[in-house]
Amino acid sequence: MPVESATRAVRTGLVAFAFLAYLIFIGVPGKIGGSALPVLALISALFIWLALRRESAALSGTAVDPGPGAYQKKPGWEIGPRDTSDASPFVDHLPFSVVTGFVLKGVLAGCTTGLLIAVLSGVSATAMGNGVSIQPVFDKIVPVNVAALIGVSPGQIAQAEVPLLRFVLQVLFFAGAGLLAALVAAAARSSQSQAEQLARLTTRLSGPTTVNVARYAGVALPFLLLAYIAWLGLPGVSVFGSNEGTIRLLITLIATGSGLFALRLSLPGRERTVVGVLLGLGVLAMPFILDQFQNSVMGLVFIFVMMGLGLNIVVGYAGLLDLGYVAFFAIGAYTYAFLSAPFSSPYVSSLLLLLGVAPESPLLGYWMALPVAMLTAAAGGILLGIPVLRMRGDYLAIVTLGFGEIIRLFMLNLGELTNGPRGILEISQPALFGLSPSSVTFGLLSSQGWIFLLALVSSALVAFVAIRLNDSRLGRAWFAMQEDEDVAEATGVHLVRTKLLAFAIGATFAGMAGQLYAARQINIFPENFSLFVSIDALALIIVGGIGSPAGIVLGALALKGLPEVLRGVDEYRIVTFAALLVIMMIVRPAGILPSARRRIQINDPNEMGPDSKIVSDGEAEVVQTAGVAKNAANGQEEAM
Amino acid sequence: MLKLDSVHTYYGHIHALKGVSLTVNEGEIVTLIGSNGAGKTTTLNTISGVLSARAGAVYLQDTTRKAGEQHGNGRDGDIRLDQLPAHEVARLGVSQSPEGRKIFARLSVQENLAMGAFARTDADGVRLDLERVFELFPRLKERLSQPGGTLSGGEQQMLAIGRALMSRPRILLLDEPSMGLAPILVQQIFQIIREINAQGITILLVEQNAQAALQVADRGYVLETGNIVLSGAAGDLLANPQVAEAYLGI
Repeated sequence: MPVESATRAVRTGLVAFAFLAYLIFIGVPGKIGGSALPVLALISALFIWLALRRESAALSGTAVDPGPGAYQKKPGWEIGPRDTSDASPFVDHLPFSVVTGFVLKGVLAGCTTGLLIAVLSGVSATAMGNGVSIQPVFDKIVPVNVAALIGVSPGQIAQAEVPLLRFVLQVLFFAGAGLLAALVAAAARSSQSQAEQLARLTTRLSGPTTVNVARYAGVALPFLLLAYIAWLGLPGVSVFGSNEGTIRLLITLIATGSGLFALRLSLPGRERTVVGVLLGLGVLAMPFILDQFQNSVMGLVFIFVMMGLGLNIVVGYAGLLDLGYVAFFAIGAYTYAFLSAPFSSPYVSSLLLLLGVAPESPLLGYWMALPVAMLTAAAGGILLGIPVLRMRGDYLAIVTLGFGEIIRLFMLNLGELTNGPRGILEISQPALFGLSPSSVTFGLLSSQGWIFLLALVSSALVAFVAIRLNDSRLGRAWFAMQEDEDVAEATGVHLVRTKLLAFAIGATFAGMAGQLYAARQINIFPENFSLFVSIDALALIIVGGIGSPAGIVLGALALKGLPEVLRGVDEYRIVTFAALLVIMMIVRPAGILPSARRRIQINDPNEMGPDSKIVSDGEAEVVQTAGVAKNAANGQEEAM
Repeated sequence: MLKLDSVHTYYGHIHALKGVSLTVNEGEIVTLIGSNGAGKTTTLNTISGVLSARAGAVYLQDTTRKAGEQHGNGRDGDIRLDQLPAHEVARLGVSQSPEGRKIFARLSVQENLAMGAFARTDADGVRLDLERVFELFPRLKERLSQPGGTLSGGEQQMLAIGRALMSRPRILLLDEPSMGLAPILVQQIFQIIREINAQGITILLVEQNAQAALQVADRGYVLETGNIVLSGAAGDLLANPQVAEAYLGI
């Protein structure tokens, strides 16, 4: 191996170690106990994979962009669009020497990290064994922490009974992680473009190719995880000790997220239908398996999925940046609260008496209140929409921001109507067929499980509507309006109506989410509806990938679910979370699962051509089509 | 069919059109030529309702009106376009292929064409027109699922014209269809303009390439800083020494 790439591998190892050392210093190993070493090794594998992936992208850059004049030389590039299956410039598999190089680099990087971790934990363990306290310097290097790293009990460290073999094993562990990362990077390298990958898969279903095996593993993963979660829930099974609840939540989050990837990995047609139905059943079973804590987090996640899907219509489809989205969430929540809580303001009572209805509580059940909450929120959406019709971009953002705050201040200060900061208490629970979480017959589902189930079903409905809207005439009008209002209007789009529809539909979804949120919280207060809810909703669609419903689910899992898991690392929670976000934005700048339309935006549509840079795996496809288009244009000019 | 009656259009305080009057008759190709900043695009945008005229009127001959029905804003039963918003003008059969193409970059070719037929409800007619567009521009059919932004300049121009045709327009407003294209493609585009006209669609063509435009047109207007300075049959304008000197570069 050349010296240069060896230094690069060592440097990768050092970077991975630096990050792991940070995790050790904030006390992560002690929190996850026995799984500390595998988790750290996997994180280092992630770093190594990232480094190797960049190298492989550099390698493939020559294949994607053959340079000016190369089109004429390669006959494969002169044919029509999408026909890359047989004349692809991508090599199917890397030459053996390159794979070996990858493996060597991966192992070297892994060894570097492992050696340094071993030294760190060894030095700390020895020091502790000799009675030297290093806590004042590195406050989290404590026996529990070090013991987790080298796989002994805290007591053994005090007796300095840590044989050398453990350190060797530790190094080997990380070397193995490096090997894994190198193999994954090499396998991914063999087919850069998703479209091409799919074309290849359909022609080569027989035979255990690397890609195929990876695909089967990907499809099976969520099911394995679901089974694991169920097993963890059995009485008498205890694996992670006091952290079991958190770990189980983490696995639940990963299972849900990987389910979306599995759906994407499965081949369109019967296979996807089967996988989809099975996944749906698995996810629907979750509320029954999980305990109160996990259900409550997952319920919140899916309430935010609904929010995200709604906001996505306003921001992702119609391109109207709305920073006051929490307003509609609050309207939905308070509407349900008015209708179902014992508190009744004199205004509401007198209004009801005027209508000839006796003000009793609850006035309406959950299901009867649902259309009311949706309509009220939609009315709020139109109310906001009308004054901002002529605004675009920054101005729109500022006005909507203000609207969100106005609604919150309303709730806070209209004491006689909303009970002010004291909030509305004892909101009734959703019941179905006479069953409610409080009734005895409802043994199978915890109250939070019931909310989670409702959130799942509602967000599935909302997602269905959102996906259908995406491909509808109205959806096209929104996208056209987002691209160019003037041209859209000149093709016959009624701008006022189209914009108001976006606001109203988005608000309706938020209203549904708000109602469920009120039912989940039982007591709601104005401070539940601060600006940060808007920011969370916006952030989750950006992280997930604007415009893509699957991305929004992933975004909600990452933004509302992960912080709960990270609660274990207490004071470093937000920092760690921020680091994860930064990494994500580097690796996948268009979001975790971007929509096809959005992927193009990252590469400026006007500047596209074969010279476009690859932003991430997903973008390769677009770059490639651009290359074909440019090439076809060349061909056209020659032909005439 | 289309008549502008001393139209004045402003951008804020800037007086862009200073009383433009012109007529386009059914079945004609009329071209509007002039140098940069003469007001050619402003004229088209005023017709299509993207800009509104401060004075004067734009009339469109009304063929859709049934007996006794009152639009109430026209003269002799004509519709006054300058009083309507852009999306209603589009629904009346005035279709614009804007300057600089302005296709929807992130929508696929198919969706772009579907946007052209946005105001229509006759699914069968739309399908027929889609076939017609593909006959004119076979290349678009090969690119159906490709995002508009990834097309080459010539293909984008074809898409812009195709999109405008998808509304089954009575009159097509073409704004600089030859802009930024290779000479060979320019020839092809003008050939296609002739074909479209032969199918019975009236065309108002705005061009900087005066020579090519006058060759394809029946009549022409010369626009200079917001005023019509010259008009006549296309052949006469081509032969006119003033025009030749100023716009044809001869």
